[in-house]
Amino acid sequence: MAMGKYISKRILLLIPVIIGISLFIFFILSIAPGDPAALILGADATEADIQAKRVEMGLDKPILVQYINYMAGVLKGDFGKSWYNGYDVMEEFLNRLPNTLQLGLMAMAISAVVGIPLGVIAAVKQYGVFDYMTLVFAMIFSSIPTFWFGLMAQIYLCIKLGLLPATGGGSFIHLILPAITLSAAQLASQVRMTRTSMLEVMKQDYVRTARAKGCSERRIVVRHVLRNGLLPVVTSLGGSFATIIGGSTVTESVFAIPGTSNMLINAVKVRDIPVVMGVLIVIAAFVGVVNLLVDILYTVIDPRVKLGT
Amino acid sequence: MKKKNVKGNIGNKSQWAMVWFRFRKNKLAMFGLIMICILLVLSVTSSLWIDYSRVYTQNMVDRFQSPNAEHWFGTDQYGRDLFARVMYGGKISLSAGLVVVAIALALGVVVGGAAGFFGGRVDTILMRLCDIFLAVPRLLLAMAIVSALGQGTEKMLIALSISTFPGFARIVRASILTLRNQEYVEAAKCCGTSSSRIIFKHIIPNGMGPVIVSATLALGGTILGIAALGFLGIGVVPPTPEWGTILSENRTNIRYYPYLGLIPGMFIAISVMCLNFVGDGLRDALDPRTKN
Repeated sequence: MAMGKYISKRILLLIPVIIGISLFIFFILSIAPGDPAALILGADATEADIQAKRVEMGLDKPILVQYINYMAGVLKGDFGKSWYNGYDVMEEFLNRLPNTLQLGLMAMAISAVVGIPLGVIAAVKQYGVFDYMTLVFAMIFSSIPTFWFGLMAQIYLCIKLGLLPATGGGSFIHLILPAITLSAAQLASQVRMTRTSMLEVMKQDYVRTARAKGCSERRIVVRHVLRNGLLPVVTSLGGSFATIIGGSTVTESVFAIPGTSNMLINAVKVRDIPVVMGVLIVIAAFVGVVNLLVDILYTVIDPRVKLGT
Repeated sequence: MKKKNVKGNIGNKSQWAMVWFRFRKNKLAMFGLIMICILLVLSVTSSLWIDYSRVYTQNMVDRFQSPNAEHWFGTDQYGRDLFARVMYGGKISLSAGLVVVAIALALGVVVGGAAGFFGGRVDTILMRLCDIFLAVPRLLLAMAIVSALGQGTEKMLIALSISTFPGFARIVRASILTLRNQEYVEAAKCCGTSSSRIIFKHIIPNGMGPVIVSATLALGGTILGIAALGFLGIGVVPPTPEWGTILSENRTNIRYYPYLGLIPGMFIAISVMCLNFVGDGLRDALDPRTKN
């Protein structure tokens, strides 16, 4: 079946991407100054200690052998252990994943549920007051830094007014403000994107035909424009997933949410390479699968699209 | 025929003069351009009119002063002048953004240009390489590179450039692919024009539009990225001022002294917004058809 073949081909194409990204990190690590073993043990360690630690970490072997050993582990689901805290990378990642996923999905839901209707209304009432207002707000929201928005919202809504909890995760209430923060920039681009796509469709001939045959404006928008105008919006939702995962780093840091991004930030600060590698590889695979799902979904909603070569 | 210089007559102007003519009529874009120029000039020349000692001199007696005549933006927890820090910080934020976009653009033009012009196997290999970098969200890739290279301003610049260039490479390639088969390029080939002349005289001037627009928009995104890395404590290392780092340093005190958060944040937001205005204006000016 063509679809099955296409899906397996796309999944196979993910493999070189993952090998490439892990090889790249391994490579820059090998040219970077400083001996990780010495860094972990601190200034008091003797030469023998450092040497023993290097053997323990497998750093005494050539870089290519290290890489192959690492990837052999990855294939078995073993992403190694943190150099500093000794925890199992995969286990810790899976423990933290629900927090990040909840946050990301909620942010995506907000940007879709709020952004798409706003964009549709702005397009239908083009050049009206509402149109200009949404464009102005979209412009502002896409320009302010995510972490600044979060910080300000946290101070004014949580600490000064006490409306919502300021930090932590776990419950729905805790997630409201972080999810709004994370969705702000995405929401802005969602509105602009929906508006442009709707306007594009409204210029089509079949819309003019519908108007000519006396369709009500409401019916034109709902039956004719929405169906085709929302197609690119769906694909952009898939793309926004990667952006949201990237943006969740600062959001998790501002609201102290124990998610995967916080794990990554802490690892980056101390150069805990197994953790950085593990998180990055899993996210690359994840984003690849989500993009594939979106492409498949695209063929379902738009039969004109053919998934080809 | 006699040429009349009527206002609005763009018939005999060069391509770039026409772009500038249309751009000038866009009030929002002009506002953005002027604002960003003012910000750039103020911050880049800050070393000429603000003594650097004001950036780092700690004065515990004067700490947490609200904005006043002596300290225009107030002072932080160490009594350092926030105005001086924001101005010097702007120098780093804006120039770092420019450097990142310049490096990424150079890499993108070389890689995307080679892929688009040579096609075939070169194209496949180069684009697969770009796909690898595009598979991971930009900020996360930059973070991973910083973790491997270690912290520091130059390393952050390298990390952000590497994570930015694949996007440019794609745009350059797409732009070249559409131009390569245009009739006027074929015509030039028929006339026996050399490859280098076709590249420099025909393809580059016509393909530059989308690249310039995306570079302007990417500049805003890069400034946001630099600030985010600074805020997370893996970008510019304090006490060197940079807008994101300034916010990060004052993070715990913003709730008591809101100006510490509002002022640096406004500078980031305004510069990014103005760059977006310029980018949108350029897009409309370069391709009047896209304007609805």
